[in-house]
Amino acid sequence: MNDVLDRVGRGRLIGIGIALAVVVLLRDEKEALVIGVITGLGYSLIALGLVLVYKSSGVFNFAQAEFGSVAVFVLYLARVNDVPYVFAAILSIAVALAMGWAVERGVVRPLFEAPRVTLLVATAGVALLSIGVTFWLNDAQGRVVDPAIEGNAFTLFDIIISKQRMLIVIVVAVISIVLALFFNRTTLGLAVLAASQEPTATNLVGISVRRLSSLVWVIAALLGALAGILTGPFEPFGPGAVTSKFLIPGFTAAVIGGMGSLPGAVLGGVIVGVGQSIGASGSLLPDSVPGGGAVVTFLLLAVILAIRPQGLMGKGK
Amino acid sequence: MRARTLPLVLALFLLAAACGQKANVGETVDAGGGFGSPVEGEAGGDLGAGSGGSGGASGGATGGATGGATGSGGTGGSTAGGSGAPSGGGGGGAAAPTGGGGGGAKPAGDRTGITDTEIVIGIHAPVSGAAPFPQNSFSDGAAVYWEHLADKGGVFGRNVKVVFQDDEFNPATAKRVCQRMVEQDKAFLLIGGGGADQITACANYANSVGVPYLSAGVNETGLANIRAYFALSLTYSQQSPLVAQLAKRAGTKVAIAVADTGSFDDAYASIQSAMADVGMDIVYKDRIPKSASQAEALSVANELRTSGAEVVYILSSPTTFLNIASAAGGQGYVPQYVGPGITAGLNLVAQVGCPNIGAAQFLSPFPQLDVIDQIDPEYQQAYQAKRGKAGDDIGIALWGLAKTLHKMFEAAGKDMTRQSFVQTLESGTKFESGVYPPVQYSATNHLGGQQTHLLQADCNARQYKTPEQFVSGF
Amino acid sequence: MKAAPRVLVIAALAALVLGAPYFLESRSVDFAGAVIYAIIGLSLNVLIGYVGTISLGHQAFVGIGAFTAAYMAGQQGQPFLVGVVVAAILGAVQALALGGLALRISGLYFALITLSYGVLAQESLFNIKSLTGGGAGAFATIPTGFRSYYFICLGFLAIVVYADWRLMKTKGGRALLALRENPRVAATFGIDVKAYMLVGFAVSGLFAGIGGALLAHRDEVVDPTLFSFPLALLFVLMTVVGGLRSRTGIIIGSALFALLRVLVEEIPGFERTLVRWDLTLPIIVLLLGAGVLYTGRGRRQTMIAGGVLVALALLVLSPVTIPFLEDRLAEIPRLSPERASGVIGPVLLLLVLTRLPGGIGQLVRPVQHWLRGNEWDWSIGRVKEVQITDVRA
Repeated sequence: MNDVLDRVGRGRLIGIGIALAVVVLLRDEKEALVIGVITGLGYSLIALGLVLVYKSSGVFNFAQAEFGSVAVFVLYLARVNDVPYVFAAILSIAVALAMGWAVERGVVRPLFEAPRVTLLVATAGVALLSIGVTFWLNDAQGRVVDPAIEGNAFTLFDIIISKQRMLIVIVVAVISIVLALFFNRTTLGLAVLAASQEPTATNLVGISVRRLSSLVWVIAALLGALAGILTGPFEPFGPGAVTSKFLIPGFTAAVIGGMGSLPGAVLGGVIVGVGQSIGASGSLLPDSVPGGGAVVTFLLLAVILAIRPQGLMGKGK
Repeated sequence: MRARTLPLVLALFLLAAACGQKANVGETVDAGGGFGSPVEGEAGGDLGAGSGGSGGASGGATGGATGGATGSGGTGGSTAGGSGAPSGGGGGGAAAPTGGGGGGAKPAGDRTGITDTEIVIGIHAPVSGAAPFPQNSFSDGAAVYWEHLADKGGVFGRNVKVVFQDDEFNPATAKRVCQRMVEQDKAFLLIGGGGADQITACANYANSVGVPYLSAGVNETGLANIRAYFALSLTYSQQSPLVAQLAKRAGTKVAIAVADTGSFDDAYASIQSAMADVGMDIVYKDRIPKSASQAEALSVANELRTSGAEVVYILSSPTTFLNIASAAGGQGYVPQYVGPGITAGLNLVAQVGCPNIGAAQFLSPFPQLDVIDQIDPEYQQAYQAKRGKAGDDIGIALWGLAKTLHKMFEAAGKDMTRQSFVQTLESGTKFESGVYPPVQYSATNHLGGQQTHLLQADCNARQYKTPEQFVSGF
Repeated sequence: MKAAPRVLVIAALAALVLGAPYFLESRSVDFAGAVIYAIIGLSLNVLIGYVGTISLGHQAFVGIGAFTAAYMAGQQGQPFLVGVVVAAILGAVQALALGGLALRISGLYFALITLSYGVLAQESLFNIKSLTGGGAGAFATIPTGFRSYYFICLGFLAIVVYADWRLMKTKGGRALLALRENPRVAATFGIDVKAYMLVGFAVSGLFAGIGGALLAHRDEVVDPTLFSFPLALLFVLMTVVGGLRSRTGIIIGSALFALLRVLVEEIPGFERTLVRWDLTLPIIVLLLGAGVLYTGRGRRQTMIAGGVLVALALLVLSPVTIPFLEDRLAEIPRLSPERASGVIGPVLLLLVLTRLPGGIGQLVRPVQHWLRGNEWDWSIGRVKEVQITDVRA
């Protein structure tokens, strides 16, 4: 039954995506479409991490993007100290993983029995603390870090796509497939799902729910770190950069996709990206009203939740 | 039920009594009196002398009313104005018309912030928030000139003490920290380091309490008609014809992108006519978000690119400029960026923005590191001596500003008051420091900048160079 | 059961509240801010504590009040009080609109809606130049001096507290509480869930509008960047740390957050003589936080005791430890007062969530109990967990 609903949701989502694309193309905003897709995939990366945590523990993780902020900061510090890129990237991911583990131990585990909204507030606290400490130890200056690969891949509708953008496409695809396989095909993945739905029963059959929780948070931190170091080079960044730029669109993407669906998260990211770039191009709102991107994000979220509160690809009640 | 609502009714009455008077409208004239506008000040006679208890704000009846009300309250009302009593010698007990609250005493002048040994000045600039400068550059650079000067005897035997506050790139914070520098630190005058909206908010506050306020030239909207404000260099609008000439050297198709804040309205209008005047073809003009998301930056960049502009006039915070330049650069589009400004020509921008900003050209009130040794060899020597390292370009900005201010202090004389300082500036004296271009004001014109420096990004060195100095046309 | 000490304590508290701007006149502006934050905290408490929906966009509620007040004062030339009233009404109206959405969207998802709404307000609504002045900001002047303004704010806080208290005493208020605790039973008794929720939203918006208007007239300049997302988180932080559903706790908690910067700046004895307060305070709090948070099973008490001991030792030995720490930590920059709330605030939040669910309210309850003439009892006011439960989640 769930599968059927899932497919219906997916159908709708793809339908909406196609409709959006057609509208955009008809309005001759091809560039907006391309820009939306390439920035939206950054949101997808964050959304994937959010979905992972939500699927396995029902938590809205407000610290997800902050894993990325920390990672890109570490990457920057390593790079200015002339550490080769590969090692710098590994180091930054390692720091993010440690942070993920620490968050699980310090915050999530003590609140294991608490309402999920409490955990939402707690992870928001973690994000704030992380930003506060980054500010404390550094100044607010904008910084730049180099991409993993330099150079341009190709030109699409007159928009140059850099190799780094293509790398994001590949990483998003790989992560989606690996996570899908993980949840559907491996015992461990099934155990994670089981633990989120029936923790007591899972413990009873001899699986340590707590250990699974650690694992999930470490993977989430990995996804956050990847999002940070892959999207970091596109713009100068400061403390909390990934959180301020990606968290809200990432959540919107995840919710549009239904919070529990991995492909939904990817498509959701693209929808949010396209919506934002159309909103930003200024043709939607009168000139006196700025902030088209934020308006579109809010409307997408509100309309989708009001029509289908559990999200497009979420399972029915 | 009736008994229960009694406390509520009581509270309402108390409240109504507490704030019976009308809220002040229009200008931000709060405690005591302010300067009003230069023009009105002229009409009202000499610096508001004789306007008595209602304060020196010859401009507004409302201001007077509030000033009077708070003054007569006598308690907390005029914390700002109350600081009119000099902390050191001079001035006697008489409250100044510009600084003092109620009272109505005829003034000898307001000497707040000046003692026999010290003059306190306050500087605000963003070192956090959306467009931050490095904190250390400010904390290191702010006092170098004055320390250097102290070795040579100071200003009439007084040393200048600099108080620095972070305004977080936020007008409300700017106003608050300015208030603190006036009330707590007893700053004689205030200086804005950068950020048009913050400078506007703080200058208006300073004017309302009769404190002189100086900054490098920014917008004219909201600043041109307030008496306490003096621009130390050309305003953005005054720079428009120069930037247009500059643009003409690089091409004929120009795009105009100006941050969407009311402060830039005058610059947005003036650059369009200036560009048209020199025969440029404006292929794109728009207000851009004050802080742009990645998609927005890419959209703006793409619109700039598809407009086919060879030259892009940009007026925004350095952060927004960098985001758009980086998005445009990613699309292989590196036009000739030109613009006015104080902050876009900082080396910081070149370090982060290269190679995407290309050979960006910005006008600037201060020169860059490459020529400072020819213009003023004392700068690096003093910086090295006082801080044990080489000075940076923010240091030059602060140094040049301090040097101009020093000339002004000297001209205002040993017995300088806030009023006499303003009068000295308005007297038409030309102040030349050799770092900032000369300035000359009159009673009706406080935007006295005349020349500018031209900075150009050198992306090989990741810093700005100064190809032309003290220019008034291209 | 003697009355004397109680009277003394009450008198001291009253003196502290009423005399604050006289002790430290130059800080009147911050004290007024603390009172305004208390109003905002109470406003958020209506949503989180009573209605049971979290709001991550409360900066928009407050901002709408602020810009309305500035618009009324600046562009319409209306008196201060009119501006406050209009701001309160508009605050209530926009909250009602959002409340309408909340009826359809529940729990975590509604949190996201409020979050997105806050961003929308900051980036779009507050940047409509003709209404708000855009980035340059809108101007509203303070109606009196800062010291008198503090008392005006206190007056408004009194009204808000009174209104909040009345609200909770009415049938509707009791229904709201019952509803949050057991929706099914409430529904069985015919409580109109939706109507009461909407009332809660309107009241919260009303309070926030008042808070925003007061904030605008205190700052005299309001601009969109003031009302950014971190501010919304700060509001949630101070409300939760204050202790949901505890008026006193929330007032103390909000004031504490508003004054953190002042505390760090204004404890001069420490700065000059004993301790580099700005360096040690966060370290102590961090250590305490780490000590208490890192709890393996069974080691909890040890860790708490350890954390407290380390902190105490740091304090006592500060003449020795500080130079030592300063040497060692010379690389670490000092925590600037502006950043104090960004570091200390979240630590306090995490502590409350994991260890002290009743927040500050839990700590002051015994005191209140005692002040009412009862025996001292530590166990009064203990709460099992932070209840931010959405009834429909």
